[in-house]
Amino acid sequence: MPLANFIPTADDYLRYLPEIILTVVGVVIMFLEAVGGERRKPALGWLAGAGLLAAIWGSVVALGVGGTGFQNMVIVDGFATFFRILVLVIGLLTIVSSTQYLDREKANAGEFHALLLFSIAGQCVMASANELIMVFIGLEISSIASYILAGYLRDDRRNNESALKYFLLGSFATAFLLYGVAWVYGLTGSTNLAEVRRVLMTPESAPNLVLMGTAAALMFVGFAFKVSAAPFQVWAPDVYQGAPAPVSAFMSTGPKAAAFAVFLRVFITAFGPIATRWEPFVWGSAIATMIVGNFAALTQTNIKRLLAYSSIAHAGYVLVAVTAHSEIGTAAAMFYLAAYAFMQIGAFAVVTWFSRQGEKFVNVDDLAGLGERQPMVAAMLTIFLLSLIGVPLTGGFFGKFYIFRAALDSNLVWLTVIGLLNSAVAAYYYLRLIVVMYMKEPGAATENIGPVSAGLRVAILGSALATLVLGIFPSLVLDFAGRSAALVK
Amino acid sequence: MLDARGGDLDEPRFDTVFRISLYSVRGFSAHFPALRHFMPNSYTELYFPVLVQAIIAMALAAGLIAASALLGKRAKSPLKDTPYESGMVPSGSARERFSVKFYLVGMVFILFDIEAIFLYPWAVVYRQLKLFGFVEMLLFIVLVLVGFFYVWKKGALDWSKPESARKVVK
Amino acid sequence: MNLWLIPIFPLLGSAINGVFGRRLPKQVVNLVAVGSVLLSFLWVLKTLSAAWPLESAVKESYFTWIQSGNLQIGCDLMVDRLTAVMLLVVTGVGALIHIYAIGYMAHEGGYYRFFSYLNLFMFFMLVLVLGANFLLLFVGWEGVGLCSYLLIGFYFLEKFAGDAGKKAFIVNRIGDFGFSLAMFLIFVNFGTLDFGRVFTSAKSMTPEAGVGVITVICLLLMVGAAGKSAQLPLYVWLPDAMAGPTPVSALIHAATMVTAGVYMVTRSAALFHLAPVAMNVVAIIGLATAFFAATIGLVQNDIKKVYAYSTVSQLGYMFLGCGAGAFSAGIFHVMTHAFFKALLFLGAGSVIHACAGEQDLRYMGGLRKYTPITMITLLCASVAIAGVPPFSGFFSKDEILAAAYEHAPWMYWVGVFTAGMTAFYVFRAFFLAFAGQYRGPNPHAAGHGHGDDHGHGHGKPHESPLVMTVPLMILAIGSLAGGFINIPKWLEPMYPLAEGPENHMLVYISVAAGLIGIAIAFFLYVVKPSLAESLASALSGPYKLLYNKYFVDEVYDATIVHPLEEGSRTVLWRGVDAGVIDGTVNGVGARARGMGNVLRLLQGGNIGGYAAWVVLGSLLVILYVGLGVGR
Repeated sequence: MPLANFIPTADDYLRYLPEIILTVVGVVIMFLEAVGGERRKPALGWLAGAGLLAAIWGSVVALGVGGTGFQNMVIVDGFATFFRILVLVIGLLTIVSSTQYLDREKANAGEFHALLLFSIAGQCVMASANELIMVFIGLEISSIASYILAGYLRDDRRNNESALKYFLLGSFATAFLLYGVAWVYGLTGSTNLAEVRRVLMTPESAPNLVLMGTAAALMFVGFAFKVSAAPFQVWAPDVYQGAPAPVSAFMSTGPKAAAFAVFLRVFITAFGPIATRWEPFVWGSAIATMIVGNFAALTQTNIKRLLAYSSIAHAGYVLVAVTAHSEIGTAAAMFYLAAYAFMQIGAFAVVTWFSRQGEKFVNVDDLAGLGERQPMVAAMLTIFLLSLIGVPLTGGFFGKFYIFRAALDSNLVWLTVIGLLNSAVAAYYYLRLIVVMYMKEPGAATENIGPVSAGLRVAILGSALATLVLGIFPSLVLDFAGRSAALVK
Repeated sequence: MLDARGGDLDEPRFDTVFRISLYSVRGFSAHFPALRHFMPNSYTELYFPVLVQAIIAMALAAGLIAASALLGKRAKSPLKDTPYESGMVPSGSARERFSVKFYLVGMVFILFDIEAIFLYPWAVVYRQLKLFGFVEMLLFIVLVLVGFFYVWKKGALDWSKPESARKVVK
Repeated sequence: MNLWLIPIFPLLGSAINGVFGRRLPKQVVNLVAVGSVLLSFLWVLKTLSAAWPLESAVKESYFTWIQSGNLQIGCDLMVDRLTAVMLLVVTGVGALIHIYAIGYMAHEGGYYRFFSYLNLFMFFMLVLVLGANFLLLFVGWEGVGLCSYLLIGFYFLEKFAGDAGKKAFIVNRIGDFGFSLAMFLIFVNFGTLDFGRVFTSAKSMTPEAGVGVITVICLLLMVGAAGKSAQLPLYVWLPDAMAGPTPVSALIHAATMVTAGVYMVTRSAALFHLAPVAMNVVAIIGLATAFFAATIGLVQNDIKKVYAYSTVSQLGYMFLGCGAGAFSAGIFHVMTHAFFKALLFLGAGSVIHACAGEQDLRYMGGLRKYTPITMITLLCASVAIAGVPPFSGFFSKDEILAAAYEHAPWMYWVGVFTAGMTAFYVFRAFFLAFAGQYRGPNPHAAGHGHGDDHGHGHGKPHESPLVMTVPLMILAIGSLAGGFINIPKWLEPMYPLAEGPENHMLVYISVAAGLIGIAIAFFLYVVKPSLAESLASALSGPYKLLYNKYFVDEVYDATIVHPLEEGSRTVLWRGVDAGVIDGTVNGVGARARGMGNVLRLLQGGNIGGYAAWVVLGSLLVILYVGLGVGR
C-alpha cells in the first residue's frame, strides 16, 4: 500500500473529534496546572467539564460523519457513539461529584482532571475501535490513567495499596489480552475485526477453530479482568474500597462500560462465527460473577466494599446479555450499562459526601438515622438502591427486564433463573442499607453532618433524575440502543 | 489457502515463518506422495512438534536440576552463601536504598528517550508524507514538550530541591 | 406547535426551585415559580390562537413510550376544544393563585419547597389534560395526587396535616385502583389506550356486543373519578385536605385537580354514551353528593370547611350534568366554579390572613371595615355561586339543572333545593365574617389549633397586600362575567346540545331558590343573629348530625379503618409477616451469609494470591477451550 494512503482525510479527524477534544483539553489542563497558581485551580475543573461537554458535541458531529476511518482502524456507528456519550456523561458526573471531595482532602489539582480526561479519551478510543490494536491502545490509555487516579492521594496508604494492586493485576491481565491479540493475528493474519470475522467464516479455518477459541479465551481473560468478572474479579473490592470515593465511582462505571463495549464488539463481530466456543465460558463466568458478587456482598460492612461487590454482581448481569449474543442482548447490555452507571455514581456520590474528610464514615451502620437527619439525601440514596435492586419505575428494573428477556430469547433458561435468584439475594443487602437509614436512631456519623455541596447536589440529583427517567421512559435510550445494536453489518 | 496439499499459499496475510514451513512441507511431500496424508493441515498439527519439543526441553531441564539435587554433594559454608561480586568481598547489603529522586529522573529519562525513538521511522518516510508528516510530528513534539514543561515546573528535574517542597500533588 | 412546552415550563420551574431554591433569594424563587406558569399560560394562548378555531384535535406524537408486545403507548399530547378550556382554566387560574401565594406564603418556612411542589403540580395537571391516551392521563392523575399529598402535608410538623395528607392519599388509592382496572379492561377490549382509537372503535360497536363490558368500564372509571373528585362515598378526604395552605386549597382542591374526574368522565363521553346504566349511576352519585355535602356545609364553623363542603357539593353538580348527558354543561361548571371557588378560597385565605390565622367564623365578624377589597370580591364570588343572574354560576348551574330535568324531573327538584342551601351557607359564611361586630380576641392570641399557622402577631385585622388582592379582583371579574363565555356552544362539535324548547319556568324556580337562600341567611345572621343560635339548639339532633358530618368519618373508622388495622396487626404482622415470611427470609439469609463468609476467605488481600487467581482462571478458560470441550 502506498504511503500516501495513510494520510487521513478531513472526515477521519471529524470521526475522532471527541478523542481529539479530550486530549487537547487534557494537555491544556496539565499545562495550566504547571503554570497557574493556587487560585486558578477551581477553574481547571470547569475547563474539564467544558471539555467533556464539547466532546459530547463532538461525538454527535462524529456520528453525523459516521463510517470507518483511519484505514478501518476506527468505526463510528451508533454503538460507538452510545458508549462515547455514556463515558463522557460519566466523566461529567465524576467531575461534579469530586469537587467537594478534592476541596475536603485539600487535593484540588489539575492532574485529577487531566487524568480523568485522558482516561475517558482512552475509553472513547475503545468504544470506537475497529481493530484489536486500537482496542489495546484504548485500554491502556484508559487503564494507566485510572491506575494513577486510584492512588490519587499519594500520602494515603489505602490509596497506595489500591493503586498498586490495580496496576499490577491490571497489567497482568492486559498481557493476556495482548497475547490473545497476537494469537488472533497469527491465526488469521489480521487484527481488523471485520477481517478476522471474514477469515473465520471461510471453510479453510475450520481445523484451526480450537486455537481460535483459545485466542478468544485469552482475550476474554483481559476483558473479564477489566469488567471484574469472576474469576478475575478479586482485585475489584480492594481497589474500589481503597481508592478515593469519586474515583471508585468512575472506575466502576466508565472503564467498565468501555470494556463491555469492546468486549461486545470483539466477541460479536470478530468471534461471532465461533460463538458456540466462547459462549460456554462466558456463560460460566456470568453465573460465577453473579454468585460471587451477590453472596460476598451480603456480609460486607463497608459501604464502598459493598458497592464494589455489587458492581461485580452487575457485571454478571451484563455478561448474561453478552452470553445471549443477539441484537436484543446487545441493546439490553447497552441499556443496562447506562442505567447502572447512573445508579452507581449516584450511590457513590452520596458516599463521597457522607464519608467526611479522610473517608472516616464508610460503615453501613454509620448511615443510621440518615433518613431523619437528611431526608432528601436519604431519599435519593433510596432511589439508587431500589434501582440497584431492580424495582419498577427505576432504570435498574428495565435494565434487568431487558437482559433477562434477551437471555430467554436465546434460550438461556438456566442463566435467567440463576440471574433472577441472584437479584432476589441482592435485594437483601441493599434493603439492609435502607433499613439502617430509616429505622435506626441517628448515631455519631449522622449528627452534625454538613451540607451537600452544589456539585454533589447536581451529581446526586442528576443521577436520580436519570435513574427515574430511564425507569419511566426506557424507550428514550432503548430505541437508540436497539437501532445501534446491530454490530455485524 | 491453509491447504498443505497444494492450495494457494501466496496470500500475503500469512506470516513468513508459517509460509516457509508450509512450503518446505509441500516440497517434501511432492517427492513422496504417500506421505501427504501425514502432512499437517492446520496450525494445531503444524505446531504440535514444537509443543513436543518444548515439553522435552522442560523435562530435560527439570530432570537435570532434579538429578543434580539428588545426586550432587552439598557443602554449605557462610562463604559460599555470600553474593558473588566479581570475586571481591561484598561490602554491605546489596539491598541499598537509593534516593527516590533517582527513580524519578530515571523514569523521566526513559519516557523521553522512548518518545525520541519515534523520530527515526518518521525521518525515514518524511519525504513521502510531506507536509502532513511534518505537522503530525510537530504536534507530537509539542505534546512531548508540554510534558517536559510540566515535569520541569513540578520540580522533578531539580535534584537539590528537598522532597517536601515538591508539589506534584499537594 | 410544541405542545410539550406547556407542561415543561412548570417542570423546569419546579426543578430550579427544588434544587437551588434554598440558596436563591425570595424574589428569584417568586420569579421562577410565577414566571414558569405565566410562560406556560402564554404558550397556551399562542397555541390556541395558532390552531384557531380548533375544529379538529391537534395531536403531537413525540416518541414511543412503552413498547411491549402489542401494547404500544406513545408519548402523545393532544389539544381539542375540551382540552383548550381545561388548559386556560388550569394555567390562567393557576397563574393567579401562584401570584397570590407569593403574598400568602411570605412568612412561611419552606417557601421554595412550597413553590417547587406547586409548580410540579402544574406540570402534572397539564400532562393530565394534554395527554392523548389513558396512560398519560393516568400519569398526570397520579402525579397531581402525589403533589396534593405533599402539599396537604406541607405543615408536616403538625400531626393533623400529616394525617390529612395520608387520608387523601389512601382514599385516592381506592379510586385509582378502579381507574387502573378500567384501563386494563379498555386495553383488553380495544387493544389500545389511545383516546382517538378507543373512542372510534367504541362508536362503531353495536350496543348488544359491548354494552356489558363498557358499563363495567364506565363504572370503574367513575370509581376513579369519585376518588379524585371527592364524590360519595370517597369524598371524605377533601374537607380534611384543607389542612394545607390556602392557595393549595384554592388551586388543587377547588379549581383544578378535583375537577380531573369530571374531565376524565367528559373525555370518555363516547364510552358513557354506550352505557346508560353507568350514566344514571353518575347522575345519582353526583346529585347525592351535591345534596349531602350541602347539608353538611350549612352548619360548619370553619370558613375553609364551609367552602370545602361547598366544593364537594359543586363537584356533585358537575357529575349530575355529565350523568344527565350534558357533558358540556359539566365542563362549563368546571370553568365557572374554578373562578368563583378559587376566589372564595383565596378570599377566605385573605380573611384568615387578616385575622392572623383564625379560621373559625364565630371569632370573625365586622371585617367589612378592615378588609373592604376582600369583602367585595368575596361578595362577587358568593353571588356567582348562589346562582344569581347574570353572574357566572347562574349560567352553568342552569344548564345542568335543565339537563337534569330532561333526564328525570325529581333530580331537578333535589338540585334546586340544593341550590337554595348553597346560597344559604355561602352567604351565612359571608355575613358571619363581614357583618356585625368583630368577635375575635384583640390583640389576637394563639391560632386556632390546626390548619394554617399564620400567627405573625398583628394587632387588628388588616387588608392583605396588593399581591394578594389583585388576583382576587381578576378572579372577581371572572366570577361575575365568566358566564357569558358560552362553553356549551364552544364544545358543541364534540358534545351536541340537547334540542328542545327552553323551559323558562325552570330558570325562575332555581333563581328563586337561590334568592330565598340568601334571604334566609340575611335574616338569620344579620337581622336577628340570636335566632340562629336558638334554632340550632331547638333542632339540636339534626344540627349535631350535620355538624359532625353525619359521623361518616367515625363510621368509616369503626367499620373499615379499625378492623383493617386490627387485622393487619394480629394476622398479617404477628402471624404472616413475623412468623412465615421472616422465618423463611431469615433462614435463607443465614444460608446466604454462610456462603458469603466462605467467599470472603478468597479475598485475603494478598496480591500474589490475587495473581494466582487470575492465572488459575485463565488456565481454566484456556484448557476448557483448548481441550475442545466447547466443540
